[in-house]
Amino acid sequence: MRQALLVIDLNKDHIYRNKPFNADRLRTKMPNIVKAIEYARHHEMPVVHVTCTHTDKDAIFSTGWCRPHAIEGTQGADIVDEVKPKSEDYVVHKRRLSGFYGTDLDLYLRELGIESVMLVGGQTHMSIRYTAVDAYQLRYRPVILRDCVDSCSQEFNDRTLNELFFCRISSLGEIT
Amino acid sequence: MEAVAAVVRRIVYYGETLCVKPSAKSRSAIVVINMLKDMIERGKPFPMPPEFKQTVVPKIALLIQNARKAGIPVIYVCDAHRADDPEFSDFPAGAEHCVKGSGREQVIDEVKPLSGDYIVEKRRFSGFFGTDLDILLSELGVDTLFFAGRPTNVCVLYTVADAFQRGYSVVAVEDCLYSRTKEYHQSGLDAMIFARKTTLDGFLREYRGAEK
Repeated sequence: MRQALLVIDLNKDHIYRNKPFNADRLRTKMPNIVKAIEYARHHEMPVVHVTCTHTDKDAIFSTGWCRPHAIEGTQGADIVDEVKPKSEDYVVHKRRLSGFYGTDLDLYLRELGIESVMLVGGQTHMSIRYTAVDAYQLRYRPVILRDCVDSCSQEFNDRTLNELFFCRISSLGEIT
Repeated sequence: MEAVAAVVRRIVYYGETLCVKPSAKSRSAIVVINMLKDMIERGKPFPMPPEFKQTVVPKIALLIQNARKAGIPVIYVCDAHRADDPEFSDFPAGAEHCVKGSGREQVIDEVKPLSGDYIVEKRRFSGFFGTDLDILLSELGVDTLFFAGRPTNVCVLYTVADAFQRGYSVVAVEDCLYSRTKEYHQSGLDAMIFARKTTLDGFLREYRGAEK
């Protein structure tokens, strides 16, 4: 089964500035995420960076449920240096929760004949969750590496993984 | 002092925005999810505790009746699977359910759709995925959606999230939503951080003129 790695929401606002969620827990997963990317490159899996790039008046901020972050053209929207995309990687900019909404992620994966996506990054209860459910609905087999994702709280992370019964929950240890 | 000011600013910021009520211009619809015979009367694909029919269904029925009286469109979002739908073998408890044409994919009698209501059939979790729900809502000129039905943490959550992503104001009517465990229900509500929360009574208060 042809598989791609989706590296989700690792931009500077998210990881260094805790916007909009605290990223203390997610930062501890960075070394594992780097290893997952190395694993993908070694196995010639396409690496797709799915990253928030909002407009400054993005409607997603309008109800005030989260603080503005990752505004297009600001440094906060840049992907963190630890996982800096290589020229052969693909970068998908999203303005919503799911990496598939309003982006060409599905087109790109189809063009490559991808059947399964492996998800790493954050946050488990937000972009990971909604990207995984869209992947499932589009008939990609979603695999989440539990040691390469996290949320602002352990409760959010664990509950979400527990509820994603349509995903395979795996780990770096299991696949390497 | 600066920290205190920041906290106060944030409270004001969230306080203002989370108290947003429908403006005079807003138009609402009720979205009622998966109130189907197979799921509720036969426990497919997941077990269905009897408390749902006893305690939550009557509230959903009241919500729907009052919405109709207030002229608010009622939209039923319903699983309608192919007989060979791959979903049935995708996950452990994903037994065959709500096959289109089986009769068991119909809405339960307690909240039966009436003429003037809308039915949107779906084959995935989200009511927006592969359906005309977004088209219907734009034709109705709707910008605010009140959600009822089940399961709070699956089909409801993913439909609420998709509605939010499409720019609709989303409102969870908490006591008209249900999952088969309290934990799943609460987890679904907690996940809807982008939704306003209300109750049946709250809805009735917002729409004065609707009888309780």
